[in-house]
Amino acid sequence: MASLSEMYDVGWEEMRDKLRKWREENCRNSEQIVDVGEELISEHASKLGDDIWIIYEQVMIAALDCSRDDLALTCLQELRKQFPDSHRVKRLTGIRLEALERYDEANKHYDAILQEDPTNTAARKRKISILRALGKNTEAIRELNEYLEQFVGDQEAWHELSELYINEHDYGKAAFCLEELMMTNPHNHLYCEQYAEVKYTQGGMENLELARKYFAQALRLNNRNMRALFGLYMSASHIGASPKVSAKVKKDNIKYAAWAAAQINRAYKLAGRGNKDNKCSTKAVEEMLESMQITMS
Amino acid sequence: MLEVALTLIDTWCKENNYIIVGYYQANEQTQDPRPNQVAQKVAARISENFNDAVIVMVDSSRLTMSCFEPILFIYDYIENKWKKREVTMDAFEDWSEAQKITSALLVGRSYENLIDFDNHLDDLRNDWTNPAINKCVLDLC
Repeated sequence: MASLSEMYDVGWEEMRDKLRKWREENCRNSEQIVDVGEELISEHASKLGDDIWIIYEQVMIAALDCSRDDLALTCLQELRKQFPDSHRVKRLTGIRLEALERYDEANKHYDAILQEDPTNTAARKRKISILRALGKNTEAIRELNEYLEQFVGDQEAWHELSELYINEHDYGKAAFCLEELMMTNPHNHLYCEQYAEVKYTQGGMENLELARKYFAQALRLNNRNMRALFGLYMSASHIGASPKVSAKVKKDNIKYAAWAAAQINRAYKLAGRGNKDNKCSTKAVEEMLESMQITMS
Repeated sequence: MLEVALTLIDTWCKENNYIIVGYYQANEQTQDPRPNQVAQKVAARISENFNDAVIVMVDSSRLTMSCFEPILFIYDYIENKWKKREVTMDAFEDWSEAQKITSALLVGRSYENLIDFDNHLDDLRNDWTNPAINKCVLDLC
């Protein structure tokens, strides 16, 4: 079977650089990482220098995603030999146990780390992930809340908590988490848009107006955010169509919705350029926007 | 965005003489293959436009490359509740053909190019009608 480097005519440096790019961008393309990483490790280990350790870690996690426990164990054993007392490597041991669904052992493992180092946030977060894997959402939420009381700046945790609340349909609390994230990351268009979506889902005139405002804010921060554009259109349309609003509010929202519709159409035309097949999509969008206009008047 | 997706896809369907007849879902928690609130709400909405709408749930715990028995659960809307149907090979037009095609697509890693509506919202050029994969399916028949 031809090696990757033979098939694609790439050298080991390119493979190493690819792995680095995927690390930096936090990509979870595990099958590709395994393909590239396995070959790099088996054929070119000696050339990698100190990079090899972080590559072992990256490939190990990708291997677990692909049920390649053989490869994962190889990587883990190399790391254990090199860094016998490392908590970072111990965490990887725990992650492997989680992948094998040996959750009790994994928990014991993380508890041992926490005994030695009670501030080890990684181990605490893995324990919460186990609760999630077991479908114990309520407990995961409780643990995550406790964690955040201590580590109030952990954005990943706030975001995870918002997702858990959304899964439990507790939109009020999900909104609270996203508010925390927006406060500390005012330029992040994704948090604005996600907050707006939660507000939209909660429904009711006040929430719809808030949703519209935050969709608009997300667009100001990134005018290519399609979800924000659609969201602006949907919320403004619903407000404009409501019999309970004043004439002025109705007029303003119809204007916002019309603007959003024009932008959406324009975006689709731009995307469809040079692509015959996409004409269907463009037409469908125009029709959809038109059909919603009828319900508004 | 679910609302947007349903409306847009519905419009496209009317243009192209298709109807939305159901909703399928594969749960994140593979141990529990029951339709959750989202699945039920979406499917109920679909059944407003199509009386015989169904929910199809994938039984991920039994999904393998060679699943010769059907690994899907089918739910019908009866008296405002979603009831599981007794599923046999007769429920499908040709399960073993479908399974062969699916295996071939999996081996060829065609899922790396599969576009869903979320991918489409990330980049409008991503075509959620997946013409290339659909062509593969026809070629494999």
